[in-house]
Amino acid sequence: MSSRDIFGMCLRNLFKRKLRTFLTILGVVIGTACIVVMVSMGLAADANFQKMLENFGDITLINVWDYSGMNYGSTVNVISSSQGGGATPPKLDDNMLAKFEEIPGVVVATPLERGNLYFKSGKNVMDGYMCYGIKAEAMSAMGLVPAQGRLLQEGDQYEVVFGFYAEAMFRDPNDPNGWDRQWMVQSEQMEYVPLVDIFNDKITMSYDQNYIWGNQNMEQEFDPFDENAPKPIKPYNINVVGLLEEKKDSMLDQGIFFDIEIFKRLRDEGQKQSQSNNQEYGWYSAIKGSQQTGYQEVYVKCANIDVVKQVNDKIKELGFSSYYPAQQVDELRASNQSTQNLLLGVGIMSLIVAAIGIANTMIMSIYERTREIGVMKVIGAAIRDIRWMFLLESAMIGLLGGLFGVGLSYFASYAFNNWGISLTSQPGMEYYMPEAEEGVKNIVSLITPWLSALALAFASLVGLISGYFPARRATKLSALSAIRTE
Amino acid sequence: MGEEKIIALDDINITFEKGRTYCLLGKSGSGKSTLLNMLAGLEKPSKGTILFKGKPLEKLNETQLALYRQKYIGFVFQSYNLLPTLTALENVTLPLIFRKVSKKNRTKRAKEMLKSVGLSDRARHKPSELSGGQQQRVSIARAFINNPSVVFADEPTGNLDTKTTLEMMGLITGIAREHEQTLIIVTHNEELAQYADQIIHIRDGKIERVEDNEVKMDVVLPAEEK
Repeated sequence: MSSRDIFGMCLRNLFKRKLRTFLTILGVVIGTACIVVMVSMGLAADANFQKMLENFGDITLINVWDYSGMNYGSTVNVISSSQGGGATPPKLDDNMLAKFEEIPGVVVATPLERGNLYFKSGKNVMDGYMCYGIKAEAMSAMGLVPAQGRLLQEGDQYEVVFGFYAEAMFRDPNDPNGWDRQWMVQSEQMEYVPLVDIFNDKITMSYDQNYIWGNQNMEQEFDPFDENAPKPIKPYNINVVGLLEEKKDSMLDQGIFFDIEIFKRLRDEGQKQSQSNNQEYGWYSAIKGSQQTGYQEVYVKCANIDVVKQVNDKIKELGFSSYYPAQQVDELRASNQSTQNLLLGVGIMSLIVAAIGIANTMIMSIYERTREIGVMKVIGAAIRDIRWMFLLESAMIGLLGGLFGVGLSYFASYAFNNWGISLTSQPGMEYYMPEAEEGVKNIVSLITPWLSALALAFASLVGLISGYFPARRATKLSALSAIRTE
Repeated sequence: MGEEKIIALDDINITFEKGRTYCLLGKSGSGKSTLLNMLAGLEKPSKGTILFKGKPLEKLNETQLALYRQKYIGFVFQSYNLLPTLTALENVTLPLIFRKVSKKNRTKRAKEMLKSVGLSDRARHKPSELSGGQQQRVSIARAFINNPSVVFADEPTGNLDTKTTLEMMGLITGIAREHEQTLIIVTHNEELAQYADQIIHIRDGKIERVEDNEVKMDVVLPAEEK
């Protein structure tokens, strides 16, 4: 019997018992849909985590910090790192950076010093703007790419690089909507028109807030004949050499980057000035009087995602606090996995019930068709033909159930995604993925082509397996008893 | 659960010659059906042998037996035994389907067969839409479609009225004779026995006597449609 004829015969048999076939298939449909939807939720969670990771920025970066000895005003915020047992706590300095770079898998380790500086260009200002000191050669390793101009080079002094949004942060102090405008540009609610041509306009910078705000004040207070009076602080001219591409990292996108050497010099100078003038110069007040000789924050770039955990452990061994983005995601993922497993279990259960249904239907069908089977045997059907006729029939039930099940899953998936139905909670997701963020929406269910294919194959296999014993039974039927007249 | 040994057939020795018509005549329980089943390879004798073209049937395995049934034997049942899901035409093609004959060829052959049993106009009907006589015609067409060497007819007219019985017997014996096929009719009906060249009386599992039937009934009835 050719496979085509077996196929035709099997379709005919299924069609003849429409209701029973339908009910049996329904069982498989429900089982398959259960499994597909559950797995699709797991996939969606994974996809969301992936997106989350992308939002975190570079996942091969490890953030190391050492705030020991730092005194933020009156708040004592010390993260102890002196577990060495009496030994002097390790310092996050250039020597330590060199040590980090010796750890296998580390590409580069760079400090990322922060400081608020004051910029002025014409009538437009940026006040207390967050700037970063970074190793010039580490910029490209950190994934910073110039959209215009270049990155920092060794030996750059007042040459600076602007982050993607930094350009838009100049505002007119006399414009009452100045702050709103900044915010709207940043949240992409407004077309961005730069107020300052950063590459051509003259831009000056100071660490002294009075440079922008306290001019009249300064004039009054400045007494050229008083040796103890605060001295005016000379602003620096800066030269913008590059504008970065968007990194989708709010910190880096808004930053202005200086070479670490000049940044340290500015800091020391500001510190000295603030002491001698008995003035607080913005951010520099924070480190006033500290014996800060190391960096507060260091980024370690790893060669690839696989070594990140290893490198992170090594850094922790050296006595520092560190953090890498995937860490949190790993934890979230694990907690999500257990929910998924539970639901998948439910799906498999229902498919097992469906399999029993198929087997039952097939056995009933064989009892009903005992006579038919006998007749076919008598007029020349081979054992093989009979076996395949029944196997194919049950496999077809599985396949059809799988098809409709996958179809149903697509529908359910669509419903979950678009009508906001969520069966599984994804703890913490909302926090990391606020819905407003750039139209990125958390998906609840994601059906990939391989998932559908796998589900179809699985459902057919279930059909085939549940048809095996009934089919064997059919082949063993005695033709003789089958055709014996009643 | 004592097992009782029942001897269904005992001391049987017959030879069926090619092209002749035989009748196994006996009452219910005489063992004639058992004999038929053994000849068709459906049952194996506990002792003795059945030779077909010199080869012992009881030594064949299931696959070989399936082949034997496909190629060399045809079967006409008392209760027609058509597959209810198939049309008349498809029922007739069934043996050819098992032999993997192409659809085109087997449909052509089946149509010829249906025509020769006078059922061309019922080809697309399901068995449930046919009368008993018509169903038996389909069954006859199915039995002969392989051009078998031997055709077995097990009480072929048991469910039919007298007129139809005459028609069916004429049809079966006619086709068998035309193609020089051996026909073995199994019945308890002495009237049917009159169609055979040789009547084998069976009683209590033994051959009572073998009777050559000189006065054969020759029925020539035109099929309903020719």
